[in-house]
Amino acid sequence: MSSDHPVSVSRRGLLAGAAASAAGTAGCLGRLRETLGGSGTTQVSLEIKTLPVDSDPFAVPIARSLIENLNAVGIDAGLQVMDVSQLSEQVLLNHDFDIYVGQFPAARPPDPDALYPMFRSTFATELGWQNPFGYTNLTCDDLLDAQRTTGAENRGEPVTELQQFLARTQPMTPLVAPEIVTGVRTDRFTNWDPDDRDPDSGGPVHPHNLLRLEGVDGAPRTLRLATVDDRLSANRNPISAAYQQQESLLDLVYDGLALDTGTEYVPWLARDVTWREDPPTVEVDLRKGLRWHDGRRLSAYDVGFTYEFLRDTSLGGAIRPIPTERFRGRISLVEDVTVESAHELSLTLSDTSRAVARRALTVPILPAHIWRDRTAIERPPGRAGGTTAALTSSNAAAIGSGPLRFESAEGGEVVFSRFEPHFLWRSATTPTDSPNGTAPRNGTVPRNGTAQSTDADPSTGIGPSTDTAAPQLNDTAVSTPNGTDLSPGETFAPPPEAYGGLPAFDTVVVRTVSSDASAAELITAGDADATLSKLSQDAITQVEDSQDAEPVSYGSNAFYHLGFNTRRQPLRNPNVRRLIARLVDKSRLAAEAFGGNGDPVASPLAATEWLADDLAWDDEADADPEVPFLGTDGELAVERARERFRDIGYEYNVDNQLITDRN
Amino acid sequence: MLRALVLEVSAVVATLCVVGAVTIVGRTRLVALRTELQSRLRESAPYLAVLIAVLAINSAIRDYAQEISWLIGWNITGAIEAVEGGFVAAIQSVQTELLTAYFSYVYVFGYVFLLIFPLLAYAALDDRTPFKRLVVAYSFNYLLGLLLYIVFIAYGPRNVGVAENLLYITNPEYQFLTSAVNTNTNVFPSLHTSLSTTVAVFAYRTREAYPIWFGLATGLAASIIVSTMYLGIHWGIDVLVGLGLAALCVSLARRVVASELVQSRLSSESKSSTGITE
Repeated sequence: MSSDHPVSVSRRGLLAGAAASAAGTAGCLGRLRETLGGSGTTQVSLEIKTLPVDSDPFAVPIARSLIENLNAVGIDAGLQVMDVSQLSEQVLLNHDFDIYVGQFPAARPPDPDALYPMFRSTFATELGWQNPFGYTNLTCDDLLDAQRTTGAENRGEPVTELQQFLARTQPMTPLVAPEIVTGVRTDRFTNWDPDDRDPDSGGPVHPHNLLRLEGVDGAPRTLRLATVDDRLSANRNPISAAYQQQESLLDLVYDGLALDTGTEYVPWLARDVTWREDPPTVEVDLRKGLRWHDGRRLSAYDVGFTYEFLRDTSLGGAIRPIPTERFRGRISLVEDVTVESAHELSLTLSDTSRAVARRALTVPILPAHIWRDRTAIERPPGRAGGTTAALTSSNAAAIGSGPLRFESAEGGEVVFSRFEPHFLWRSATTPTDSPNGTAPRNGTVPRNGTAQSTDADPSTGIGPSTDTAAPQLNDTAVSTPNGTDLSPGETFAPPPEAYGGLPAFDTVVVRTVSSDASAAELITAGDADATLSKLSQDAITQVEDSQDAEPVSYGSNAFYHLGFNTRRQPLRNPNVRRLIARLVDKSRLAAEAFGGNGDPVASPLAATEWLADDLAWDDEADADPEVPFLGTDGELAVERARERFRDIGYEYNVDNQLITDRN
Repeated sequence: MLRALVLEVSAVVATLCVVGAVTIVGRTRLVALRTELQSRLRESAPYLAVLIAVLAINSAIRDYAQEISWLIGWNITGAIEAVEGGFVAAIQSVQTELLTAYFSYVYVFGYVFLLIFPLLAYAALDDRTPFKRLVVAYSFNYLLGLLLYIVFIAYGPRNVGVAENLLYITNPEYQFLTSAVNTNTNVFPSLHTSLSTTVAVFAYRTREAYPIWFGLATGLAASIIVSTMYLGIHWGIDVLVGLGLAALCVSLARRVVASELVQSRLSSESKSSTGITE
C-alpha cells in the first residue's frame, strides 16, 4: 500500500486515525494538522496482516497484543485479516505488508539449511517462501554459506553464529512454538499416535504418517479428514507458495527421489543413490516400472526436467530465470543434471556437505509431459516480479506419481484414491509385473560395490551416517515387509521399511469446513476421522467430551512469528525491529493465547538440536535472552519503551505519537 | 450432517408455520387459499421467478464472487472497527447461557421462520399486493446484498478477536448451515437485519389483516437483529446499513408493484384493498 513512501499516511492510516483516538493516544487536531502538512512529520504507522480467527485461532490474539503495545508507544497500528491464499499472495508474492503474523514453513524440526532461502540476500527479489522479509545482510549470507560448506563436525559453529546474528537483527521475531492438537476418531482407523514414533517424524496427520495407520476390521476403508484450509479444493499446484503449505496432502500426490522421514532420508523414487566427490555428484538409479497417475511412464527424463524446470520455470524464455516459489533453497543446491538413461541420472551439486546436499533429493518430481507446456511468462497485477504459467496454474488434474491419486474436488470435498501401481505396494498387488523389459537387476551388487569402493565416503546411503541409512538402501534386501520372498525374476527394490504394504484406506476424502469448531463437530458426529487443522481450546473440549474421539497433541516446529518487511521504513532499521520484538511478551502469549500449549522461542531453530545455547529460553527470568519484553507480567512499561524509541533517534510529538520525517 | 441440519430446520420451521397458519392466518383464509392457491401462484409467478433466479445466481456465483471481491473489493474490516470499536464486545458483556441459547435459536430457526411464514400468510390474503411486494423486496435484498458483498470485504467481529464466537462455540453444528449459505467475509451489510426488517415493515403494513403477526414479527426481527451482534457475527455498522438496505428494498418493492396495482385499478376499478394499510 505504501511501499514507495513507507511512512506516508495511507488511506488506511487516515481511517485508523479514529481507532487511535479511541485508544486515547491521538488528538484529532494534532493529527489533522500533520496530515495537512503543517509540520513535515507524520506518525509512524504499521499494518499487521494475519489470518482470521476462523482459519487460525491463535494468530489474531498475537496480532492484537502487539497492536495494543504498538499503540501504547505511539505507533499507529492496525489489524488486517484476510483468507489464507490472500495472505500468502500479499506477503509472499506481492511483498505488500509491513508486519505479518504467521507460522514458519517447516512443521518438523528442519535442517539449519532451511534458513538459507529464508534469509539469503540473493533471494530477496524472488517470490514465495524466499526471503519474504527482503532481508539483505552480507554477514548473514556468509554464515548461511558457511553452514552449507562446513563439514558435519564443525557445522555447529556457523549455525550458532547464524542464530545469534538473526536474533540480533530480528528480520523476523520467533514467538511461540505451538503444541498442535488434532482430533481423531478410532472406530475406523487406529495407530494415530504410536508410542514408538519419533517426535521428529511429525504428528498424526503428517501426510506420510497417514500411510502407517491401521484399519479396524470390517470398517469402511475411506479415510475422512476435515480442514479449514480450502486451498486444496481450488489449487493443487505443488510449487505455488500462495496455495501450498507444509504437510499438504499433495505431498502424497507427488513423490521425491528420497523421503525425509524426519529422522532419516530413505530412497523413494530412487532405488539407490551413490555419492561421489570432485565435483560433488549424486548418481540416482530410479526404481523400475514407475508410472504417473495418467498411466505414462516416469523416467529419469522427468526427474532431470524437474530440476531444470524448478530452477527456471520459463526454461530459458525469460531474461532472468523465474524459479519455483517453493523448494528454492533445495533447488539452489543442484548445479547441473545429466540424464544417463531411462532410469539413471546424476546431479552435480554445489559445494556443500552431504547433510545439506541430500535435501536436494526431496523436491517433488513433476511430469515433464504436463509441465513443459507451462513456461509462458505472465505478469499478474501487483506481483513483485515476473512469473510463469507453471506458477499461476491451478494444476487442477494434479498428475503426480505418489501413493495418492487425485480424483475430484467438488462442493468442498477433495477426493483421493490409492494409486494402485505405486511402488510402495505393487509387490503386494502385482508381484509378476516386469516393466521396461530390462534384465532383472536384483542383486546387482557389483555396480553398487564399485560405487562404494570408489566413493570417498563408504556410505552409499543418503544419510550422512552409514549405520542409520543402510537397511533401506541396499538392493540386496529381497523380502517385502510382510515377509514374502520375492520371486527370482523380481526387479523391484523393496519399498522403504515401515511404508511398504497396503495402507489401511483405499480412498481419502478431505472436507473443507469454515472453522476448527466445525472440524471438531465432524469428528464428534462421526463424519470425519481426523482434523488436518489445529484445534482451539473450545474445540478440544468438544472432542474430549465425545466417545470414540480423542485429541492428540504433538509439538510443531511451525512456530508463530512476526515477519518484518525490511524493505520498508521504519522496519529497515534493525533497532526498530528489535524494539518491536520487545513489545511482545512471548511467555504471556504462550500461557494465554495458546492456553499453555506452546513454548516461547527465541531462535528459528529452537526445536532442533542446533539451537544456540545462549538462545535457549531463559526459564529463570522467563524472558527472551536477546529481546526481552519491555515490561512485566504482560504489562508494558510504556514510559520505558518510549524512552527506548527516543534512544534510537525517534521523537514524540505533543500528542505522544511516535513521529518520523515525511519523505 | 448438513442434510440432518437442513431437515431439522425444515421440520421446526414447518411446524411453526402450521401453528402460525392455524392461529394467525385463520381457518377462513386457509379454506379460501385451498381453492385459489393455483390462480394466485400463477398471478405471482413472474415475481417468484425473479426471486428464484436471484437466489440461484446468488448461490451459483458465490464462490466466484468471493474471488472477484478479493480482486476488486475494499477490505473495510479495519475501518469498521476504527469507527465503532468495542460496541459488539459491550453487547456481549451481558451474556448468559440462557441469552446465548435464545439468540442462537432465533438466529437460525427464528430467521428462517420469519422469512417463510409471511409468504404463506400473504398468499392467503385476497389482496395479492403484499405477497408480490414481499417477493420483490426479498429479491432486491439478495441482489443488492450480493453486490455489496462483492464491493466490500469485511470480517465479522468474531473473526478479528473483537468479540467471542458465541454461536459456533455453543452450537458448532450451526456453522455448517451458515457457511453453506454464506462466507465469512460477507458481513457487510447484515442480510439477517435487512430481511428481518423488511418482514417487520411488511407486518406493520398488514397489521390490520394480521395484528398478531405484526407483534410477533416485530419482536422476532428485533431479536434477530440483536442476535447478529450478540453472537459476534456482525458489527453494529453492518446492522445499521442492513436497516438502510431494508428501507431501500421496501420502497423499491412498493414502486415496482404499486404501479401495477394502479394499472389494475385503472383497468378494473373494482378491487378493494383489504390487506394493505397505506
